[in-house]
Amino acid sequence: MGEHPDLYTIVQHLQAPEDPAARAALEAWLQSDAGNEAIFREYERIWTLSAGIGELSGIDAEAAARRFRARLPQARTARLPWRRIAAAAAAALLISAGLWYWNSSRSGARFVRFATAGAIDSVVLEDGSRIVLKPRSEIRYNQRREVMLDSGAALFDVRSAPSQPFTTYAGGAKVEVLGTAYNLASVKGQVQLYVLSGAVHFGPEAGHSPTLVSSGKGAVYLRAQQRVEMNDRLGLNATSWRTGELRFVDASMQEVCETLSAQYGVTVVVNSRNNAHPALNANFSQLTLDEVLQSLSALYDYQYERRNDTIYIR
Amino acid sequence: MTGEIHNDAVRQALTARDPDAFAGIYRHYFPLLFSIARKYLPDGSTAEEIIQDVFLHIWETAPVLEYDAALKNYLCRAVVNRCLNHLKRNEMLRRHHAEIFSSSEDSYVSTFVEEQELRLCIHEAIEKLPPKCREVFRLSRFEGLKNPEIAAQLGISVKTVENQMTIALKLLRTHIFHPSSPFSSKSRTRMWLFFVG
Repeated sequence: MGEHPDLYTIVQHLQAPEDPAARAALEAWLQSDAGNEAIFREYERIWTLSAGIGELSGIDAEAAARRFRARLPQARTARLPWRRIAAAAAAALLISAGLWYWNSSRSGARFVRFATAGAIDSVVLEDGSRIVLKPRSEIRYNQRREVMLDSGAALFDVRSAPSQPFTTYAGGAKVEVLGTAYNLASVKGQVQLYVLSGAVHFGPEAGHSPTLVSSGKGAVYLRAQQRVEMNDRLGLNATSWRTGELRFVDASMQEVCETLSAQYGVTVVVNSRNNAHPALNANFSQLTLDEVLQSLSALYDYQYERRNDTIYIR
Repeated sequence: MTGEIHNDAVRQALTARDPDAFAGIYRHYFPLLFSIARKYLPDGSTAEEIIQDVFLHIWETAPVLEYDAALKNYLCRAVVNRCLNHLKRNEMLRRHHAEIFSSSEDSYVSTFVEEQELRLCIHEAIEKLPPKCREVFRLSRFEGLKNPEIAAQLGISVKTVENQMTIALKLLRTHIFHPSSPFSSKSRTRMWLFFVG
């Protein structure tokens, strides 16, 4: 029977630690050999750790990986690491300076598509300008410093190049800059611009008298009227999708809902007979949607319910 | 959890910006990280969200990890920290302040991570036990049933339950602590005879 009578002693004790007879038998066995203590500890460890271990059966790593995969870009993206740009550019230049010249004159105007799924991602253009895309956004860009924002929002950090302006098109509007940083968002019927540094020309695609928007200022292009309107409130949350900071200053219920739906990619439905909601003054830093909603329902007298991507506020 | 993913695989996935390869790394570490996060957070979806955030952060920032064990340590530590931050934001902290504070210390976290790894290992080993043996062990350790209850439920004698428990523990110990010395066919036969007898 080999070790088995000993193992039987151990199991008897583990199953009934309160039983004095089982304990005495175990003690006797432990005393009989100095090595027995280590053996017992291993069994005890397995015994203790296996309690309630059934919860691990519910972990479906395959399904979890699929959910995570949905938050990554659809396919391999052409993003180049920031620091390797110079090296890559130099190598490309050495190998095919002539070819590049030929290429750029022929196909430099061809647009390359870049889209994000559930996560923020960025692309560095050949001139060193960097574009950071909000989740579920899409751009097309070429090598002539022309970018089309087809959907969503993006932060543009444009390398200065005095000889060639950098042009962004979105929803019928055009932003023309030399070197600056700005956020552009295409939302139903309008294009929102917020300038972080420098100054840009903002106007209708085909217009000839664009508006100058400078650092720290926001402006909205209204597609229906084909005109630009300055908007100071845009500065509050224009880049919050990137920074995770939400700021509300005397914000109306409507503004709060619009900001939340833009920030978290959800639909907010207000079912309230009482329209006299107090204005909101608050800062939220790096909070999840549920945490913001919890704070709001604590501050004000509303209740919310979350069903998938829709929030109902009562 | 069998096998380790080395930094090379992660580096390659990040350099090539290969989302499928990166999701594969996520799948590999998910069970361990999920079982860690669930110890802090009762809500499974928040736990999963935190793990996703940790990986998305890596995908975005591509941190430099110097040695191979660094990745697992980094992941476990990041998940624990984010869980604690999450708890801090909620009221729970006020109630369990001291408890949470002590559970953020390095020595606690590393013991805790080691324990979770061992639990996963035990769980995997249980899945490999002979069916009857597994059933008895499950009812005892997962459901907390007493031997006579298990015997009644499975329609076997209490003695058989005891024998099965003994076999289960013996196999588990060998599998977990002494994997290099697998049972010889002779000792397996002996075990079988013991079970029958």
